[in-house]
Formats: sequence, structure tokens, C-alpha cells
Amino acid sequence: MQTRASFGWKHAVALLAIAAVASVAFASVFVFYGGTITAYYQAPPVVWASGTNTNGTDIGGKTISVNITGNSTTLSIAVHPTYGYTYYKDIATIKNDDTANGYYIAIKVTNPANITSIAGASVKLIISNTTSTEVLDLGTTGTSPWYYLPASTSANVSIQFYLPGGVKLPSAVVTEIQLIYSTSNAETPPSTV
Amino acid sequence: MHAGRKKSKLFLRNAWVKLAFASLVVLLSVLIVVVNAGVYVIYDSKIVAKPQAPPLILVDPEAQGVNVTLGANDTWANITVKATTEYQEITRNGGFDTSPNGWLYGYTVYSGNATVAAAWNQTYYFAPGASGVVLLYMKLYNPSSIIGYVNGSIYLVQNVTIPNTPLSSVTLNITYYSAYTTSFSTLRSYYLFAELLYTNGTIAWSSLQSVTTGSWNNASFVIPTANVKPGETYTLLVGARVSGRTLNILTIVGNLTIYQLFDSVRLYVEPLYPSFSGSILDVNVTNGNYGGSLGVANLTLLGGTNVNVSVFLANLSGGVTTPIVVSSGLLTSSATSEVQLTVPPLGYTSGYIHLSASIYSSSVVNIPLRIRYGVGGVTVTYQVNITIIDPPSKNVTVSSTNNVPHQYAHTHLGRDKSMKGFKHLDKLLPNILENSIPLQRWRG
Repeated sequence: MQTRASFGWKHAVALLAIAAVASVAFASVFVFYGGTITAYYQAPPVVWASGTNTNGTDIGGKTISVNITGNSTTLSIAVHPTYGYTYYKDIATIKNDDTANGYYIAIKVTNPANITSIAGASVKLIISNTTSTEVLDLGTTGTSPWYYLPASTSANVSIQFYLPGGVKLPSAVVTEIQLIYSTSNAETPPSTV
Repeated sequence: MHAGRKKSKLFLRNAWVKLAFASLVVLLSVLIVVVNAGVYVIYDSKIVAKPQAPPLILVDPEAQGVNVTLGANDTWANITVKATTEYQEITRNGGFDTSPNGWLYGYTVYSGNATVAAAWNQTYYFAPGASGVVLLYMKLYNPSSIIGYVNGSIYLVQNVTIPNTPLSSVTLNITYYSAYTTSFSTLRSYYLFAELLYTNGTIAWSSLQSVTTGSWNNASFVIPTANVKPGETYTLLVGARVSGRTLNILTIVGNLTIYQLFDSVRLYVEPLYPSFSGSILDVNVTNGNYGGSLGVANLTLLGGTNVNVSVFLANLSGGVTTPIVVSSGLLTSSATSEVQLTVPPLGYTSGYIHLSASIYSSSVVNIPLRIRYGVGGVTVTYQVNITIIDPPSKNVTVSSTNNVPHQYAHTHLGRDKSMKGFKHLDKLLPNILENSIPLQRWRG
């Protein structure tokens, strides 16, 4: 009796069935809906602006350097404090140019002042207007509470340094912050991506 | 049929209610989304601080009855002040030992013209034996007539504050050396004088004494306690007043010149109750000009109602702030006005903190003082803690003769001899002045 070939039609059907199932399982089905995002850029309603002591005289014959660039959206400050408390009053302002709407502002410390190794040393940012004052420790990462800036008003920005006598003068103390403003104070502001 | 229509109507009404409810939900959702719309704008910014050495430092004045502990970098200080009923000197740097610091000079010409100079030096060629001496030089001349009259005075100036307590005595002790030269002139009078002026410039007390020329001498002025008010600040003037006649013919212009030296000028008071008055801390500016002031925070007084304290900041040209005042144990003024502090000339400090205090016997008073200085919108604050104590009494007597340099104590040359003896002074003067620290002029 002659033996049949070992690969018959039953095997072929089975393989086809497996292939069919596999093709269904990995099928990439794409559906496309049309949509439009249009951004109408506008002048920033909240900006950094000069304070009464912007670029004023610093102690030791130096100058308080305040650079406001990028359409008033970037602030860069260089000051020269010394031992004890050094207070820089009103060296910049946060200005709400919107005549109709108020905004909530907050300061986020993204890169804290690098003086944490010096016991007792501190850097504080003070935001104030005629009705309220907010003090933020620039020595730790974090975000200040929301501070309401009514329409067509501004808030003064001051900075206080404390460096105890007896320590070696740091060559530079750098702090990176973000000014955040929003129409709402309901949520914690998100981080940039 | 009728029942079917009724059912249908009911269904329709329910549908409308459901639709209205659904619409309300959607509307509320939209409203919530709009109200809480999370639009955030974020700006990056940077603050760079480049700390620098302090442009103003604290200095220990090494004053009697004051113990100063300076902190690192001379930016804070703990000060203990001894309030006593002992004799105490209330003049600052009354011995001129290392500098003219604390003293200014002034002059007045009543008749004729004058050339003046004032300087401090460690020693003087023509009056050795003293260390740390001030020279007041005045050349008077009057070229307006053949026989001209000259009359003028030249003096040292310092503000002094009387302790805020009744006093048993007030004594001014001076160690001086007087010399003069004449050139086609005659001397008519030469006096040592001392005055206390009120801050408005009127005289509270004044006295004159004839000088002895050509030797170191002591002079003592007893000031009646009725002429000084406890707690009051006066301007003390101590100097020489001279008058003479000069001859002027053709190119000859006669002159009368005095050389008035001081080795010490010390004003002593003897208070009835434990007290102190004097400078407790010097401040020195190394760079820039600043407005300086004092403040006090969290004041705790342990001395009761018999505590009276006055603290102010003064600058080298005689300017003073308003004081911080504790009156009968109550803080009535917690901050001073401002005074300008500048880089001082050689031999001077930019300013000083002055304390006047009277307290209960055996009591202790702590004052957490803050010294502030700044320019524009920048203010620097240092902590200065003051403790005033009344330690056990130790009687001290004040001698009016203990400062006479022995070498010249008995070499009185007399008026006639002085004309010959001091002729060389005019030649020495430029060299003397060149090697000296000039005194600052009083603008009062």
C-alpha cells in the first residue's frame, strides 16, 4: 500500500486560516477627521517692566543690571549683595497692560539659588502692590501662590539676600525662575514641556 | 384609540423634559469649562547675584568703658557698655593718640585777614615729648592800613552729648603748647578759650584763660552743671584767641602768627546715677557714598522705668541723625533719620554710633540695634547688639596734670624770648604740614 504525501489539503487550509486570523489581528486601520487650529498671536498682556531702581546704583560703586528682553517677556537681573541683609527694592515690576482683564500671576523657582550649602543664607523674592505682599523663598524649588493682578495695574519686584559674615563670598549665586500668569487660579500651573 | 393618544402625549412630555435636562447639563459643562479655562503663559527669567566684599565695615573705637566684639568680616558686632557713676570722658579720641579722628577745626577772623592750617602728627619738631599732637596754625595780617589791627581765633570742634542724668561735676582738661611769632607786629593778647554751643549755635557756656607760651601746660575749666542740660548735645570748641597790631609800609606787610598745639582735650562728667555717653562703634566706608541710619527691633528692656537711652549715627563732618529714644523705659522713637557716610580722608572714620544712657543701679539693658546703609533702592543691614550694664563701682580720680610731657614741662620761654625762639617755625611749617594728616574743616 502506497503511503500518502505527508502535507495534504487539510494542512493547507489550516495554514490559510492562521494567516487570515493573523492578518485581522495586526490590521492597521486609520481613520482621518479634518480639523483646524488657528493661533492669532497677540501682544503679551502681562509683561516685565522697569522698577524705580532698575539699572540703579548698587553698593560698592556697582550698578544694578536689569535686562528686559524678548518683548518684555524675559527678565535678567545681576546684583552685587554683601554680608548681612542686602535688600534691592523695586528693581523690576510685573505689569498688566490689559485694560479690561485681571490675571493671576505666580513665580516658579525652576533652579533654586545655589547657596543652600551656606548655613543661614537666603534669597527671597518679594512681590507687592499697595494691598498685598507675597514673599517667595528662592532657595528651594517651588511655585508661589497665585497673586491677583487687576487690569491696568502692576506689582513691584524686590529681592532680599542674606549672607552671614564669616563665610567665603560665593562667586555667583544664580536663580532661575518662571513668571506664570493665567486667566484662572483654579489649578496649579503646568510645567513647560 | 383615546388611550393610545394619551400615552403618546405623555411620552412626548417626558422627552421634552429629558431634552431640557440634557441641554442644561451641557450648558453647565460648557460654562464650567469656560470659567476655569486653564490658559497659562510662562516666561523664563534669571537672577544672578555676584556677592562682593562689604563697602562699609564696623570698627572698634577702643573707647573707655566699651567692649566691642566684632563679627567675621566686620559686619556685625556685640557691644557691652559700662554705665557708671565714676568720672567718665565724653569726648571722642580726646588724646589724639593715633589720629585726629573725631575732631574738626574751625576759625574766625574778627579783624584783618588770615592764613590757617590744622594738622595732626605723631610728634612735632619744635614741641617734642608728646605723641599724637594737633597743630592749629593761624597767620594774621591786615594790609588795609599802616597800623592794622588783627584779631582771630582758631579751634578744635567736636559734638558732645551729656549723659541723661543729673551731674555732680563737668570738667574740661586740656594739655597744650602755645607759641607765636611776630613780624612787624606786636601781640596784644593770646588766650586759650573753650565754649559749649547749643545745636542752634548760641553759647551755652564760654571761658577764657591766658596761655603760657613755649612749654607744655595743663589747663582745666570747671563748667557749672547748671550750664549743661542732661541728655543735650552740644558743640565743644577749644582753641586759641589772639589779637595784635601790624605795621604795613610799602612792601612790608606785618603779621602775627600763632602755633597752638594740643596733646589732649578731654571733657569729663561725673553722673549721679549709672550712665554712659560716648561713641561705641565706628563705621568705615571703603567704597561709595551711602545714606546711613539706625533702627531697633524687638526691644526688651529689663531696667524698668528709670531707663533713658539715646542712640544716633554721626558722620565725620559733624552731621547727626535724629536719635532712637527710650524715655523712662518706653521706646518713643524706633528709627533714626539718615546721615551721609562717605569714604573718609586719612586719619578719620566715616562715622560712628553714639550712645547716651542712664540706667538703674545693677541693671542690664539690651538693645538689638540695626545699622542700615544704602544707595538708591539698595539697603544693607547689619546687626549690632548693645548690652548696657552697671558693674560694681570702682572710684577713679581724674588728674589734670598727668598728661604733661615731662621734657618741656618746665621750659617756659616767656613772651619776649618767644619772638626769637620760634622764628624758625615758619621755615619748619611746610615740612611739618607735609608729614602730617590735615584736619577736616568744620562747616558749623
